Amino acid sequence: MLEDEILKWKFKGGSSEALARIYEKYVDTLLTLAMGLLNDPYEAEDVVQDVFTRFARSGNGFTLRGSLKAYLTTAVVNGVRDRVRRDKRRPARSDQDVSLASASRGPDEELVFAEDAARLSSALMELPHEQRETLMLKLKSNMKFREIAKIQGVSINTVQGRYRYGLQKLRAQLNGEVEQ
Amino acid sequence: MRPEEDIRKTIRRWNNKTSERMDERVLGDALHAMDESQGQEPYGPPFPRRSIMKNPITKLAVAAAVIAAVVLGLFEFVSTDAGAGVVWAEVAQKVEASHGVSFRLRETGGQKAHKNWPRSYSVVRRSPTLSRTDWYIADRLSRTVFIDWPTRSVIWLSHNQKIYSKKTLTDEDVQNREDAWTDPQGLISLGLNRELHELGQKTIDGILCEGVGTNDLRDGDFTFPVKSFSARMWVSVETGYPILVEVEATGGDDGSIRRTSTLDKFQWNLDIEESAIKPEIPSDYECID
Repeated sequence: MLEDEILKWKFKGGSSEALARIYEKYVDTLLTLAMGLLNDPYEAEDVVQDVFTRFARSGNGFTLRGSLKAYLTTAVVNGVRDRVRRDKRRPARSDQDVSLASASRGPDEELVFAEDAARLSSALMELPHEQRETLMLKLKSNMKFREIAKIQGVSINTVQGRYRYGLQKLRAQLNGEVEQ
Repeated sequence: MRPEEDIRKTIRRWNNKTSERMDERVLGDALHAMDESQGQEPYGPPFPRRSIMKNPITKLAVAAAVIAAVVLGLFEFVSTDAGAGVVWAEVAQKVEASHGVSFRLRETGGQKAHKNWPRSYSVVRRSPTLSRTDWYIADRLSRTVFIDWPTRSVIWLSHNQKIYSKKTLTDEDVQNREDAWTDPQGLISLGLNRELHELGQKTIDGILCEGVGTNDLRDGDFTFPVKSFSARMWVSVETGYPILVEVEATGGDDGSIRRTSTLDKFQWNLDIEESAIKPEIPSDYECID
């Protein structure tokens, strides 16, 4: 990714334009990932905001040999885990909660949810967090099993199992909804 | 039964989009944090004040104006063969002699600067000592930034939120203004290294114009690999002043980035007085300093 290498170099040199371009390039994907893991637009937005603020602060001492996208994705995953850990008793919000939350933001703040995405988001929340995380990282962030295994600190076999079981449960959830 | 492949596709296609408000807040905070980490005094608290000057939107506007100025600087070196309606050397002299100028700027493909294209735009008025930029969305004034360079004072107003801020520029801000990009001598030496081509004549808004263009991007400063670059300027044959500048750059890893800047509605040789462009702060606006 030549563009990312240029961006990393310029960002390290203090270029605010590089930071803005990194934001522009990855924010939607990161927001979707956070939304998939949290099913809460406010929380998802907060996580993404934290990630970019911390990333911006790292500028002077920033060294990254790997992928910028993987770095930011991992930061979102960790940010979500922190929130889940901190707020473990918080029940998952329903579709209605999400739509009300979005509507209260006014037209220029409203996050866009397709109907499928809203159903999917709710169904994902029925899965254990590890399975949800695996599915989102594999399918949305396009990560390899070994990369996910590294993030989760488990074996590749465990990740593959989480992916398989997660997909089966999700399928059952969504089929159940269709049949209702 | 819903096949698993459908579910996989749905997840892959799922894409939450940020809102304009979120962009302003999150990116504003990040830029603010970046300034702090570099030991620079930020312009103000994270949101919304941070979006005044170092905002990439503002920077893009400045960049577009700089590109325009670079192009303007080139014309001294374009041929002035008999038959040409415009004497390019005179254009360069006129532009340089014009103390005050105003123009409209419209951009696409940047940090969502004018994403409501063509309904959103900026109007820039500036002289060697003063500048004012007004952002409009659907012809409604959204934000204003006024700078008095000798006193380094900045006034920023968000008309949507009815808030304002007054700040003083840092040495670095002033230095950035005084670097080679804004120095006419520097611009001309940059222009010496560029290849230009004449575009012939065409009529724009009833005005006979003659154009010149370049695809030479040496010394260009983009944050993505540029695959193509073009800048065109059209000058009124009658007055010898530019009336339209168009800049386009494409690139990115997959070639999907396309950024354009269009500068028009120029007014040259204006006497820009502070009293005429310094914004009045309405009494119901809240100071956020």
